[in-house]
Amino acid sequence: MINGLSIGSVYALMAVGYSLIYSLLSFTNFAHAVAVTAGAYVSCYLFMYTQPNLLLGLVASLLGGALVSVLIEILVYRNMLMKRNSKKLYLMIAGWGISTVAENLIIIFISSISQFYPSELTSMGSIQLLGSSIGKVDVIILVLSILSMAALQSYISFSRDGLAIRGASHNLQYASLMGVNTDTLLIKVFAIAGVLAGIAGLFMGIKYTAYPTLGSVMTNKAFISAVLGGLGSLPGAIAGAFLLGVIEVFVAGYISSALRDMISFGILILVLIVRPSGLMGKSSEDKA
Amino acid sequence: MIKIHDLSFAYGKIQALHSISFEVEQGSICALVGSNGAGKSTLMKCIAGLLTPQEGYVEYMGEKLPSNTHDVVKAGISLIPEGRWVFPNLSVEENLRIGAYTVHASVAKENFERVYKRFPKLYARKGQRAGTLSGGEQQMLVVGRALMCNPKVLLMDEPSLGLAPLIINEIFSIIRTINEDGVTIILVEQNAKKALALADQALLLETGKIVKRGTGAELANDPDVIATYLGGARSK
Repeated sequence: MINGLSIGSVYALMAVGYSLIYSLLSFTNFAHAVAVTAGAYVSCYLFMYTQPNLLLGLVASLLGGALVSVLIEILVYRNMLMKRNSKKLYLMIAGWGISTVAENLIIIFISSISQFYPSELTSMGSIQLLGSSIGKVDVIILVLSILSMAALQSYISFSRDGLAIRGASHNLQYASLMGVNTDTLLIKVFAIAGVLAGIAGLFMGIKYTAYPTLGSVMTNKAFISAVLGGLGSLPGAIAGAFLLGVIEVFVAGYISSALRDMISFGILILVLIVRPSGLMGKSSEDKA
Repeated sequence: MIKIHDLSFAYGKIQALHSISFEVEQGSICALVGSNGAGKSTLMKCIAGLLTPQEGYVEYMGEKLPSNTHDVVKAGISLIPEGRWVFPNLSVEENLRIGAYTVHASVAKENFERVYKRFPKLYARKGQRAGTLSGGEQQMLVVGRALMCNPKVLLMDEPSLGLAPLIINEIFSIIRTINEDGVTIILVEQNAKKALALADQALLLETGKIVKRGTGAELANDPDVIATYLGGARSK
């Protein structure tokens, strides 16, 4: 259960990034995976030269994720968004392309083999709770993920930019009529999504290893979570992610781990057929 | 205060504005009247920076107006587009707060008081989601929100559209009081009679060109305008 919640919390970190960007631009940023992978690799390499300090890794990964995410926005999406009538589908395909190019760049310049995190982080032992043994790593991941999302939620709810983001999620152009610089706002939003993706990358790297397709494998699950919860809705993304994490662990534990992904993607298809707006989504139009 | 220089705009091949030029004095009300498709809204969007004109430019207080929407707002020009668009997902108070995005928190605080004083109904509903307000209340909210950033110029596109007659009268009296506070107003209206009665200066647009200009009273008494836009015997 804790294991499921811990995986779910990492899915949630990535899923809110999808939802945040979707709520403003109405397209799914498939290049999100690159920020996750970047987060995993940055810390992995950092630990080859420094002490395996989780806090240090956290800072490095979130910076790495944010940097990659913002660069993609500025170099690719911005140019596409400037053209009127550029279809959201094009942005989505471009995102896909970026993610594939990035994976192959890692294979060429680094290696296709998994990079291991130092064992101080990966095997921290376990604690006993209510008669079952729980990995310390899972608990730390769960707590830190929840803290990150709480920070995001309070930023969105209480800050001046958070208000602008909520306004812009209704209509980006109207927000600019309020004096909001939407270019800067988008950079901030991509940076936030990148920060969370970077943190998720670090956690995934610790839990599994850092490998080139880590981001796309994991963000696929986050995407399912976001759709399950309702794209564009932050609480929905978080609820969907926890739900998916727990379902996956139970399926893997009680049925078969081979069935895990099949069931996850089955849920995606089912949601899209039965209730495309997800648990808490507002509209069911065009979930590209 | 605002000078439009030979402004032209085309949506693709459709020319919506042909070399429009006019000037609006500080503190005055300028009404733009004309039928649907005359280019009134397009002109407003060009001034607000939502559309970039192919030719011509807007001069504001002796300088060329920036072309980014948010910079236009910072310069003191606020557009109320047609259609009573509130942020339906935000509360009334949040709608007003986002309107004060460009000003300092202390200024925003004063403006909250002023807006709530002018629109007591909004104060009574400040925690309510804006999407649940009635049409008239939404229009009040939209006007109140535009005032939150202390605009020097207010561009109002069809503020009376789709509202009940009583509320239309209220809106027009509000426009007058806002103007008396020193805000320059450019007003687009289908309700030509009311708009012309209010306006110091009026322009009649047809297919993207200014075909008549004068004071509000001059246009209101112009036989062509009466026949076409004031509906002759039909009462508005």
